[in-house]
Amino acid sequence: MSLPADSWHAHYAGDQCIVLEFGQIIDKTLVDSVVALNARLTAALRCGQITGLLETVPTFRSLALIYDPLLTHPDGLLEQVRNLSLQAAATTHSAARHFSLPVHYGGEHGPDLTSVANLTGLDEQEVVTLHAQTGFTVYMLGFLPGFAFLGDTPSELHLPRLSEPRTRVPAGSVAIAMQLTGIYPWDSPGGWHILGNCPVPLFDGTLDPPVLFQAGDTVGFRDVDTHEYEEIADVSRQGKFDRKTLEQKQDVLN
Amino acid sequence: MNGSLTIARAGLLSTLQDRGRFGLRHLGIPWSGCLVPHWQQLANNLVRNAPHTCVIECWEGGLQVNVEDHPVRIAIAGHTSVIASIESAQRKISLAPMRSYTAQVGDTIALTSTGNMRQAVMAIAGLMVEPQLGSASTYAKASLGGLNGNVLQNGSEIRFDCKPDGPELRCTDPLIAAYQQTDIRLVMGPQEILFSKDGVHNLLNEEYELSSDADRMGVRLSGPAIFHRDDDAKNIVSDAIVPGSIQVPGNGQPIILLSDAHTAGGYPKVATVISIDLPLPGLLRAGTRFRFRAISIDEAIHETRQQHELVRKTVKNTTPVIADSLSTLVLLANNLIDGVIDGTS
Repeated sequence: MSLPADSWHAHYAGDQCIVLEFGQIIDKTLVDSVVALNARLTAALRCGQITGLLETVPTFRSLALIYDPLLTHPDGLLEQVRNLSLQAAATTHSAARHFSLPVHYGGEHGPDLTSVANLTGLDEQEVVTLHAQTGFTVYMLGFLPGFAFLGDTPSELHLPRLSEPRTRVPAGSVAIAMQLTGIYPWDSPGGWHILGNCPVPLFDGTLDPPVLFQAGDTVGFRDVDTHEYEEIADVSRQGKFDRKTLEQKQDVLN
Repeated sequence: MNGSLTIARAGLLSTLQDRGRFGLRHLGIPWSGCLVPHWQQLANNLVRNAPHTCVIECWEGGLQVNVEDHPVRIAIAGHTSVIASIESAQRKISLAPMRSYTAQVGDTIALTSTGNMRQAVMAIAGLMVEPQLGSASTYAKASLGGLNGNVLQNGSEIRFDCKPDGPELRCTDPLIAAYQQTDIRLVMGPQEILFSKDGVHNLLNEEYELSSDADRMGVRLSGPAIFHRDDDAKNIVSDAIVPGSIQVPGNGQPIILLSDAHTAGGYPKVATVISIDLPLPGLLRAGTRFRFRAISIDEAIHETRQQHELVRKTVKNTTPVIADSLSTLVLLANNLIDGVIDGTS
């Protein structure tokens, strides 16, 4: 997929980063553009084709390019990026992968399921079904190491954040706010509505990469009962969960 | 040879840090790494370590390290006002920064106070720490690096593999003048457009004071508000953050982000402190006032390259400490020390 170079504006962010801004909103088409350019640049980076580029950071709305100021000037870096993104690409294999994640909705693991049902005028099962039937895309990672922002949550479930954030959201929580769904890899404070919990290890510092997803991957949720949830949680606690079992093979040509 | 050291007291916050863990920001994992990179480089060089070896970064002081089974060579990089010593029942040697020393079995190495700066670093010859995801830097929030993903604790044991050999080394801190700097240089953006003219005027013309609210993630400042363009401009859709980003939340009071900062966030960033000035807001004491000065990207790149060249030359420019063992012996023999020898004499 070729990307017109004028679909972003470059902003300096100090002497080691330049930010390519694609827009100011959360929107899947923006994310797709960011992910596409990121895939192109990451491939070029791995081949050493872009002098001075060290790493890239995709977000909802921008792609940050981190560079070594001893090796390149950001304007020179931009020139290289423009040339790359203007090259007509034939077909490129998408790096995106698809994951299916087990989630136990409601009960102690999904303390906000009832209130979400009340606020949206749906019953609990309808909320679960709507959420679990949605094909999500990982829009970005951030906020916490490995925290995945997924979109879009079905419009029926769009709610503002909680007016009083929780001081502790347990690791594995699957939660919603506005058009996003988030998965907490760590215990953390948080202000999203918790629908359920995913018992698999989402961040494992002994693995490389330590995080299951990256921006552009797609994710679906599988509604599991307490029994299956506990089984998976047990295996995870013992450190024996094989994350590869979550990935569903697909071969996407863009 | 494989020696061990015990952290008798870890002090306020002591962590193992190398240059940082790069290439994982897209997964939400910050770089971490030593807040004062040239100190990490100089201290390692003084104990003849490879430049990427991790050091102990110590906040405020209170660090005590016991030498268990083998002599060890160490060097502290910090401000000249650092208070540090090597101490045993028989002797106490005061340590000067930017110089190596050898501690014997049974000695306690103390970094009592980081002096006029919030941090100092201690390099240990042959320090062995298993890197995780390419770095030994501690990022405790994700249990990465350090010792089992954690900051140093009382009782932690660290290991080294190096026999003290050759003369002690010393060097001068090439950036000593920078600590007197009263302005911090920045490049405007990436979201300066979200701030009002008056807000940007304040940023570039008024004084800002460092608060005591500082850690490896960032430091808060107080001063005349850096006004946003309007209320809508107070929050943005999450955008990338780098160390140096100057975030301005709704109250208009800036936060300068440091090594452990999140990789993305929803406050607009009016400007970015240039990399070579970034140690200052983390180092200088609460209450220090300074001004921000905007420079062009060309100037920023130029200045950064110049400074790296200066540090590179200093690293090459260590000198052996020749008279050290002699003067120590002489002083001991004359019983002039009463506990303290100035290691720099």
